[in-house]
This record gives sequence, structure tokens and C-alpha cells, in this order.
Amino acid sequence: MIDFATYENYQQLLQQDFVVVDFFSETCGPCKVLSRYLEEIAAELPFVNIVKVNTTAWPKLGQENEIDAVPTLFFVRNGEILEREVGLLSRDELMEKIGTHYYG
Amino acid sequence: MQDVLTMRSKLIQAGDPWSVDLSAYKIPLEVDEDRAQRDTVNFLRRFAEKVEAEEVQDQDTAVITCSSELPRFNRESLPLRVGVGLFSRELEQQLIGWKKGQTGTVTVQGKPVSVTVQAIQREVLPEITDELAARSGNPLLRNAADIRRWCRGNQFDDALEGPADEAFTHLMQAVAADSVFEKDPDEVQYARDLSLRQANITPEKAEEIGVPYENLREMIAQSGESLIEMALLGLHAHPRTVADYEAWLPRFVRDGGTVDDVVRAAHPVLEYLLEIVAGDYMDELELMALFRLKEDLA
Repeated sequence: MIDFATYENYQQLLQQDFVVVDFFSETCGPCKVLSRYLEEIAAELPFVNIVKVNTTAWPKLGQENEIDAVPTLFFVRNGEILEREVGLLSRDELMEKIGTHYYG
Repeated sequence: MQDVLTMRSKLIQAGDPWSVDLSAYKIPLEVDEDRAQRDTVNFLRRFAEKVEAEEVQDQDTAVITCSSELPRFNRESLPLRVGVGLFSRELEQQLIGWKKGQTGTVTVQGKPVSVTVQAIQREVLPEITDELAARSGNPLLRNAADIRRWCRGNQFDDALEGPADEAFTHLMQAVAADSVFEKDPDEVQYARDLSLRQANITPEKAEEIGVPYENLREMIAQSGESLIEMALLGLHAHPRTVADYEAWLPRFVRDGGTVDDVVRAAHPVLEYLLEIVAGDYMDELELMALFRLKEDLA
């Protein structure tokens, strides 16, 4: 499932069992490629929650999370950030990381 | 609201994009049918109906509880996409054919793992129809044929990312060099400072790269100045008003991925780039780059 974060609901969305957070901007090419991968993965793995944070619309969320570049991904379990990944991942790399963090 | 399209710098005369030779950037594009099939399935999955099933098949989502002397295989209510192999391909393959509620033992890494299948969920993919195109909410997909074209063209987005970027850079530099600008000194200074600030270059970094510090700073500042030219050329092409911009940009932000007649019609420079580099396929990411400076200047 894909949720779009706002400043108000961001923390609540992160409290789900397992979440991949995608910090993106509207003018970033790699973000769009990554976004497509995430849409595919959301459909393929319905038990993985994906939260998208538009740093253009919510710059404060970007600042508070120290996002220096987009795309940046957080892999989060029960609110705890397990890993930060900056830059575009291939679809296979993304799946591997999700598998590693989701199943431990 | 501030008019984000207003710049004091002006484009006096635009260079001719049609005279720039981009043939060196052309890449062969042949559809990988397997990839196209996968992309089609991935697209359809977004609209799939989820139904409960009684027997595990490949690609089902099964929820299992398992126990074993292998620490990783002591789980409760664990969802698995069977056949994907994210948890354990070995275990998943052995589950195929199991019934809902069935308990049994599989062998993983030579060790027995006790498994109970608690639930099975299956996707039923929709047919590609005009109705599905309408339901997709993507204005670029107007009918079934658009969906098929989109799924086949998807693979070129990745293939084109590098070459198209290089071609676009070359094209815009050539057009800029062939154009006449009247640049506002404040905007130029802003763009130079912005570029330097974003690059955050230090003497140490310059030494690492092997370029004298001051030379590197000037190169970066000039790249910022060139953004003024890019922005003006972008404005020249499209859109011309805030209303246009607001109507346009969300479509690219929201939908992304492929080119369509809207892009071609609206942006002659891109249309040329499309023809030269990509044949029928290209995405609109480069167009977005044109708007970066305008956002910064807003």
C-alpha cells in the first residue's frame, strides 16, 4: 500500500509494522524511476507499506529528517529507522533490501 | 501568488534546435518481450482483485507460521509472496499445492521446518480494456492500446536515462550557444551563488578531483549561470503563464514515465530529441529539469 505523507501524519505512518519511506522531489528524474519501482513492489508485496514524502510540498519533513539529496529511502520497523539509502537503487537491489529488512 | 515564471533576464533570440546534430546519441531500441510481459503484469497488479484461495500457487501471498531449529524459521503469521524468494525460495517452492490450514514439514538447508498455512490470497489480474485505462486515473492512458504501448515502452525509460541525458545536455548547450540572451546581473549572481552553495565544494574536494580550487569554483558558478539560459529556453518553449505551469506540472509529477502527444505538442525541442534519440519512446524527465531554476528563483 502506498500512502502520501503530510507533516501531520508522517510519524503515525511510520508506526506501521514495516515501512519503506521514499523522500522524493517533483523535479528529480531518478525519483520518478524509483517511484515506478515502488509502485510495482507495492502491488507485488501487499504486506509492505510504502510512504512517499514529497520534499517539495513538505520541505520541513525533509529538513527534520536531514534529507540532503533525493531520492532517499528509509527502511523503518515500528518507527525505528533500520537503514537510510541515498540515490537510485535498481529494482533488484530494492527488493533485496526489503527482503533483508522485512524478514530480518 | 508570486508569478514563478517571471524572470528579469530575457531571451532575445532562441537558437534553432532543429539544426543540432544529435545522431551520435541514437541508441537501438528493441523491445524485450519478456520484460514487456513483466511490466504488463506489474501494471495490471495495481488493479488486481484480491481473492481468498484454498491451495497455494506460485505468486500467491501465503501467510504462514513456521518453527524450526533454524532461528530464521521461527515465525508467526508471516506473509510471503510465493516464488519471489524474499524470505526463502526453498521454503516457498515446497509450499506450492498446500491447502489452507494444512500443517506439515518442509526441508530447508537440510533441516526440517514445521509449517502451517494460515491464509492464501490470490490476485486476479484485470483484462486490458478501455475501461481499465479510464480507471487508471492516468490521463496519458486513454484506451487499451495506450496501456499496451505504455507497458512496452516502460523498459526504455531506464535504457534512455543516460543517453537521453547526454543528448539533452548537448542539445541545450548547442541551442543556448546559438541564442541571444539579455541576462539580469542579480539573477546571474543568484544562479552562480546557488550553484556554488549546492556543490559545496571545498579546497580538499578540489584537490581530490585534481582541479585547482578557483578554477573548479568558476566552472561550477558558470554551470549555475547556464541554468539561467536553460530556464529562459524552457520558458520560451512552454509554458508561458503560471496557469499553464500549474495545469501542466502536476500531470508530469503524478503520471510520469512515458511520452505522449501532449509532450510532443507542447515542447518542440523535446519532440526533436525524441525523434533523434528515442524513436517513439522517451519520457519527460528532461523537461522537468528546465523548471528547476524557476522553482529556486520563486
